[in-house]
Amino acid sequence: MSQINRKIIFTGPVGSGKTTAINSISDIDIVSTNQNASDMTQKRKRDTTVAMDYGVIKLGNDEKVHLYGTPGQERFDFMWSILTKGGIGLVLLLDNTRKDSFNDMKFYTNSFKDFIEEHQMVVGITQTDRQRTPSISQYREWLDELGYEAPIFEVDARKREDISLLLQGLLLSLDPGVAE
Amino acid sequence: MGTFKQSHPLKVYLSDISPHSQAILEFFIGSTGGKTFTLVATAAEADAYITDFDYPGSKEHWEAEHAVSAKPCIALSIEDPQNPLVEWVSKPITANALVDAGVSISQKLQKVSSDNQEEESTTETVSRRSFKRPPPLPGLSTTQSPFRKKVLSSSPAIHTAGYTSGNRHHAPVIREVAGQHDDVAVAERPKLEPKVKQTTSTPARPQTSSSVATQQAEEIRDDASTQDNSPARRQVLSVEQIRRRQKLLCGNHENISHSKLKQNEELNYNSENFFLGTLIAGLRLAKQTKQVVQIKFEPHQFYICYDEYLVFSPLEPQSDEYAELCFTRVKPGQVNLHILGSKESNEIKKRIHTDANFTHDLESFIWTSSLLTSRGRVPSTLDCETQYLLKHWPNFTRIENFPFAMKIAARWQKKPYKLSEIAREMDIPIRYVIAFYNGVLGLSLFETKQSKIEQKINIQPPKNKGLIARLFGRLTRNEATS
Repeated sequence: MSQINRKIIFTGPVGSGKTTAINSISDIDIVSTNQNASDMTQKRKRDTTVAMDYGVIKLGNDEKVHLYGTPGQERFDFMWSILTKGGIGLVLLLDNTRKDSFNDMKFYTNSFKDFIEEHQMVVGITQTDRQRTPSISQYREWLDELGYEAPIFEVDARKREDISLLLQGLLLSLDPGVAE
Repeated sequence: MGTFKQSHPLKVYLSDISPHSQAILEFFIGSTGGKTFTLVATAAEADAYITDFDYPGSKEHWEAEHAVSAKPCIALSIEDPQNPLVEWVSKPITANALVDAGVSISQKLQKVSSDNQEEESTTETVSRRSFKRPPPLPGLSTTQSPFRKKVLSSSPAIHTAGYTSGNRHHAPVIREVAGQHDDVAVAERPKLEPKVKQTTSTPARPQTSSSVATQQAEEIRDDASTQDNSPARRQVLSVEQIRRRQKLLCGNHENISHSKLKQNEELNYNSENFFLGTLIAGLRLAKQTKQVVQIKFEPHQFYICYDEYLVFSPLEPQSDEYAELCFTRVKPGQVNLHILGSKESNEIKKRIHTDANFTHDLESFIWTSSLLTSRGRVPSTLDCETQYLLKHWPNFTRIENFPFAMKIAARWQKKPYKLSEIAREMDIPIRYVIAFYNGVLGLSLFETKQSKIEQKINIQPPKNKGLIARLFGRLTRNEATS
């Protein structure tokens, strides 16, 4: 039986919760490449993903949806175009405690511009329990400014239901009639 | 150096590369870079090296290696190493630059190989192997560098398929490779199979039928799948409690015609006559003034803190008391708005941070208030013939949900619809569309630019895709059963 291999890509800056989010929703223990951070990254996170995270949602009959998390550090951005091949959508996670969330959004939407235009993106704002601002309303304005249309939800990457809703938003954006 | 065929990928050995970069390169070469490169486990098998020249001592190490093997090198570094013997790839590395460097080295090796063959045919006394390789430097072994050992011992054991050891750090198994270099240690990468989580994986469920009975089940299921996400509803509610709450939020109308919606006064409301009107006015005021705004509704006092995007409310939005407050018409002068001074604002902010039980997300509070006020009715200002377009999705992870809400959002963002059109197209009771409309109106999430609405009028939403439907079914099923 042939296997259908499609991917959902999780991206975002260091510490935005990509590894945690994949772990929350994956049917397998996440396969991760976290290492002790040795550079500026250490200021935000003790260990960081150096290559990618990998998880799976099993649909039965050998059908799987692969979940890939991009490395948080920008110096590995050459991998991103590789990772997106075969992707059905992008989950952009943004850490609300970072200094310039707008720049983060701008950077990642620009990096995945072609993919987003061809497929779909959903944005998850993490760490809002630690810092309330910018508000989700502000993120919506930024998204407008950048010319993208995507669901934006506040998420706790540790909570399966939050990540599940984020993915449901992604799928419904791809096909609003998906559940009918 | 052996004969090189350019048609084959360049065999490369990663030398003096940090575990981080090594993981990236291994992944790259294992995927799209595989046409240009192939990784080998030992320097002896390689056509060329890839070396991080910013790695301490790597430059000297490679020069020593090169003196023995004469193998070329792709040098990764921030600054140009100014060495004609290497192909420089500047950092940050790009896939294209790596491939270009690989192609360049392949071409050079091909040329050398051709030259060697020509030379061999004319001078049989000179072996190919010794042609390019200078004699070893005295006292230098190819594996004596401390850096090689360092790299190997700290290898994160990355695998080309993307399966890695992750947090469960598997120490690489070091084995001796006989018959190659006596003292070359190679990291043998243990094969890892992803471990299946011990969670229930329910089998695929058939698509929902459109019959009334199954639709009711779907409504309950649809609500159950999302109810956990509203902050105050984390407790498990009975089916009866869910139905009762849904009635408060959405009313209980099955299907109402356009004309009836506008003609029947009982189906209309004016938010100005309810607490909601003052709440929305307070929100605007708080946004404009950047100060905390107090809403006095005796005996209660509410505070809107826009810069924290929070509301301080003495009543729990999920309580019957608050539902009653929202649904009851206010009397003139019963509700008052005040902009607080800096001192009072700071005191309230302190309370907001210490009394989390009374603090609510602003959007979630307005959403719930809008629904409780409308309870299945439409604003008297609604034009039933107008097609609306959703500009932004509500924050579904934090608002109080009801059946079909996300599906309505998805449809309404793709294309402008009248309220009745959405209900008809989705074959759902109109009360859910009305409820969604009221919530979105309260949050001002509808598109207001007519040009944008017109742009999308003729858009056909994409058709159902099998895999997406199956994944969606899997996610919603899981939420409903968890």
